[in-house]
Amino acid sequence: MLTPTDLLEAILQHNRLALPTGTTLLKSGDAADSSLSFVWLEYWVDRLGSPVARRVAPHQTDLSITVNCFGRPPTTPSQVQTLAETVCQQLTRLRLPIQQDTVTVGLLTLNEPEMRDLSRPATQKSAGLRQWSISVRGTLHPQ
Amino acid sequence: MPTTPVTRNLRDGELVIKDGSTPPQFLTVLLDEGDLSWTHKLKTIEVKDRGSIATGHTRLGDDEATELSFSAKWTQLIGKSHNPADPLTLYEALMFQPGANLHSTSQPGEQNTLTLEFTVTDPAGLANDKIVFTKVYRESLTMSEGEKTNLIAFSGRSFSTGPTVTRV
Repeated sequence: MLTPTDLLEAILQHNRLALPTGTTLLKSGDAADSSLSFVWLEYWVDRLGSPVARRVAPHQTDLSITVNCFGRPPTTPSQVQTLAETVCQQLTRLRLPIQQDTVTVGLLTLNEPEMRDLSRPATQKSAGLRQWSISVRGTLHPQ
Repeated sequence: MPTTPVTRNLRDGELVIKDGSTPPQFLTVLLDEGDLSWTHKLKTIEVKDRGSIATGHTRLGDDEATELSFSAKWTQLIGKSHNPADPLTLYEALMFQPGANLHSTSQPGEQNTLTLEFTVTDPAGLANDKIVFTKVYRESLTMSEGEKTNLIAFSGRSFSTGPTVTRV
């Protein structure tokens, strides 16, 4: 049985190649000290569900994935936005085989992501922190 | 076998399409939308007495074929007709695609027909119903694109006054 961690690991591997070397990539459950990084990405599977279907139908899973892209000085706001746009391009209409023990067990298909700027740089608590949030819906097809 | 008052819904259904081969080729429709619908029609001739229903009467009309329709998610359109090693697809079965080696359930020279078996499983596991439509012919097959999934929509008739319902 596939877990959200399996899915995130596959997406991280896919995205890593397109991102600047040294970018910190985290998935839910990972522990990291953000004070050591100036830019980092957090990947979450925040919704899993089964569409209404016949009992005899193959079990598909609908899901939503959110990637939060953070950066703080000396990373510039435009660098954070560029990073978020790169992630967005990587996720757009992604077709990604999901493997377990080198066996392909499913195909993850993602739709078109949505980007939102959640930066509140003026607030004292998040001084200088930039945050872009990317959310995308998709389906895991069994194989 | 007792009946159960548990309501059924689309999750409990299973649609199987069979052709006229011996033994029949069959296809379980795995990705149908769960919207199978059929309509019994009964034709009645109203004979009114100088326009009056009160003193008029009714007579049996002609038999009417049973209308039915369903739709399914669109996966591979052609399989067996392209490569005999591939499985039969829904589109091939409904279209009697040449090369799929399907045989009609009607006599040669008649319209191509299929048998549709719809089984509704009792959630309580006691009394399943099997609804069999014989001599089903196609009136239309509508293929449509969608944001989430493409659809194949079948509409046709069973050349019988109604399906046979049995307990299985």
